[in-house]
Amino acid sequence: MPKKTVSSRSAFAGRIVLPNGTVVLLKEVKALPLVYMHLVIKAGSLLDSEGREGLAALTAEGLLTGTRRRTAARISEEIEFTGGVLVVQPRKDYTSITLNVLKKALPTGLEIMSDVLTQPAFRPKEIVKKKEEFKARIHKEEEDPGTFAHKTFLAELFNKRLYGQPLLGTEKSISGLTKNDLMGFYQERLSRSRVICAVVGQITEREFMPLWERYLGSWPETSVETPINIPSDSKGGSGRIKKIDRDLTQANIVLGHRGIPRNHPDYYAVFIMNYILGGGGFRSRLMDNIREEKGLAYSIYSAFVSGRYAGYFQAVVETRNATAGVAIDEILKEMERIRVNGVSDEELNEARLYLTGSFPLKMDTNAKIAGLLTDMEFYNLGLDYPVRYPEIIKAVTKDQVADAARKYLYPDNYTLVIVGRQKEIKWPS
Amino acid sequence: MGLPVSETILDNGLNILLLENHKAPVVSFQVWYRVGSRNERLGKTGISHLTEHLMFRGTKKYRPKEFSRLVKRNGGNENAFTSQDYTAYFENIAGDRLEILLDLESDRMTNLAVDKQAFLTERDIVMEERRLRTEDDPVSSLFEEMDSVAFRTHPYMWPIIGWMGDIGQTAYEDFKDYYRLHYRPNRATVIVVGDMEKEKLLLKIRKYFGHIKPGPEPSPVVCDEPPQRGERRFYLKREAQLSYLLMSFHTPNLRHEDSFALELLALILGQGKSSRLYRRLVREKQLALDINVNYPRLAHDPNLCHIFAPIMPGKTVEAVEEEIEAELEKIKRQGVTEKELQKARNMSEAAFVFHQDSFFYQGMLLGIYHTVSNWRDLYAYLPGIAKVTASDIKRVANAYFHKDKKNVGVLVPVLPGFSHASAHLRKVSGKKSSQLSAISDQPRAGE
Repeated sequence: MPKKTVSSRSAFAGRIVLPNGTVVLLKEVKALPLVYMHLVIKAGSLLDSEGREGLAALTAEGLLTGTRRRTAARISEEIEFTGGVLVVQPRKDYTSITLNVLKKALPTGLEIMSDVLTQPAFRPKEIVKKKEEFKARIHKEEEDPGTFAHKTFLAELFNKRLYGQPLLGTEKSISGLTKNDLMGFYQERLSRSRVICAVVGQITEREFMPLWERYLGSWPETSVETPINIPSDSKGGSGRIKKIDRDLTQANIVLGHRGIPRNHPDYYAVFIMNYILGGGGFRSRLMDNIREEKGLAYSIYSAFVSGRYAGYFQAVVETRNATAGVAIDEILKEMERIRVNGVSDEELNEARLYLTGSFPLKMDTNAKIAGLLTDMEFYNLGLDYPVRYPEIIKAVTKDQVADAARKYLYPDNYTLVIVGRQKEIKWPS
Repeated sequence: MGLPVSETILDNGLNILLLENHKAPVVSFQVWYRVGSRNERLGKTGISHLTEHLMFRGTKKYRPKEFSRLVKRNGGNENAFTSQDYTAYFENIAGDRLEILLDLESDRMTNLAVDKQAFLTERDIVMEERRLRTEDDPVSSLFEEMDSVAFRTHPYMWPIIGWMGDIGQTAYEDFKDYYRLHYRPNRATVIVVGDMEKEKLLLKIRKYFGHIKPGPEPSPVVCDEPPQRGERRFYLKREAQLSYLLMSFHTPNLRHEDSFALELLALILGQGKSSRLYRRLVREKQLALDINVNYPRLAHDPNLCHIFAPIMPGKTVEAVEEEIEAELEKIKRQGVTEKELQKARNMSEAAFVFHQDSFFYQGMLLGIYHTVSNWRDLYAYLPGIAKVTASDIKRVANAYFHKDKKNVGVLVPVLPGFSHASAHLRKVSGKKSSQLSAISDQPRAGE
């Protein structure tokens, strides 16, 4: 039976560790007769080997294409009849499964979810269909200039590996995958990797645990996850510009370099620094300079994308082809300025006020709470994270923010992708 | 039946809707104006949306950038959106920080002070927005073209963001007149959903908004779209990877009793992977990558019901259109099953409860209902849905999805490098250009 861990008074949710390693996090929200479940399986597309990109995603989405007892059509028919939604989303670090149902439909939803997770069939006919769908989606990704620029940026920055490998794979890598590959990935990875399950809504532990036991109690013993080897010299960018000629009125620009993992000790200093540089919406320096003052763009932002492993920094902007050069120049100037001069007391204060004051908005729906809970567990943030968060933010000093800019921004060594009409692009002299 | 929303109308005409809910310590504060692209004229299209942007450019009391600064300092998220029927401003924020928003929103309802330079800069930003969202997005262009083909007289024919030429020629004075005409308490609804005490809050709303002078009602938008007598069809050639089919039919809005049956018909046709069109076109025949059916019940005037499909590579638009037609015919002749109808009802009911989980979304629903009709209609939704019978569905399918009332748009993809639009930019060689053939790499300093 479930083994309980000690829960302190500052714990935001209940946490139960099952004998097979599964962690169940439970938060009762009584307001509405709803239950939202978010399952995170610690196996994602980072596990795809070279030449077999897309395997993790195909396997994950393949779960919904049929089980031993149910066809794909029956799975959707039964869940949709309850008005509920069951979604499987492959990601780079993990695979995510969400179930959003009315409380009365929870047993039905869980039974279907359990069937899909434990008895997948991966029928060859369904795999052929899914592969064709993936190929069409890969094409579609190239159609959207922003998505295409971003995908190209990641491939270039990570040399097509790690976060740079395409989640859906390539037309070629997909073509080679068979039922055996999918079944293999399912048996060795998906069904054997650690599971985090967040449950939020009108439900108590006493109600939920018997349901879990009944429907997912047979989940196998999970192994310790396989760490992924990340080269330690991964700093800065590739030092290259990739220009892709497309008949567009705007240049789609992504500029950036390697970043830091979510668990890095400097994470919060970097996070606040980026909030001031380009993460803070209308209050950020990049938005103020490039949009509000110069009117060069509708959208401009920067972000440190930090996952399980060292992620990346990116500044993203779309502007007329003719003004692309100016926009890039301004991004680099702002990166340099924050490195050289740091930030003001006022900027730091405002960032702190926003980040601490807006935290309740990060948990105002069941889905948001479930996402926060799985993140807390996935990154080992602790059950009291929501309580500690204001202290964490307030503890970051102006010097730490300035240091973070110097250490983790590389205005001299980056990767740049520009998708647009190359002939119209002018560079400031 | 006691409804949870409390409604107040101030002497100056301001509508106030308050919905108290303490499940999370936050509120969604929203101000809805009864102005959207439907209130515009040709030559000045996009002015509602441009005005929305300019609402962030400062007043005498709060200089430019002060608005966003104060919202952020109080931990709030703010934004705004414009549709064909409305313009709405919102802040989501901790419940105990509401008062500053009352000051900010009531101030910009009447005291906006934007100088000409700021106006010109913002106009440039909106033109960049149009380039991003429409000019360089083939699917969005297809929808824009559909509106302009399917409507002959109604202002729904032009895009919300406006035609590029119109945005560029909107003058500073045009904006000032537009703002003065439409931004008045008698044209607005204040909505607050979430963690507050409504009696206390109402007193504060009165204090901040009560003194604002009402304005004359703008002349009503009169626009009877003449009935369509025969199919309309267009082709759009754009740089794209897939072909797309967009079909549309004129349908009535929530003011019409048929709207409940149409709502369910749209779900039966295209909502979820067990829907009729998804099963037939995506799952069984693999002709389409996806299928989307959107019935705009919540519109001020009758609008278009869209059926949209990205086509699988190697398949034809014609085949997809034929299959959609066949499925529509089947419903017109045989109707739908009781089980399908029950599923659609279950989906509507569940969605209705799901939506209540978000204060923002709940406020948004109230805002849309109250701007296009009345907030009470939100609570008439489920009873209306419950009354629909299978024969109603068959009847509305025959009444509105008629062949002679069909509008069809096809996006014909032109491969990169072959676009006629780019012919003046570079020489196009005869050989087929691959996706990445135009990449050029240049070493950078630092390498």
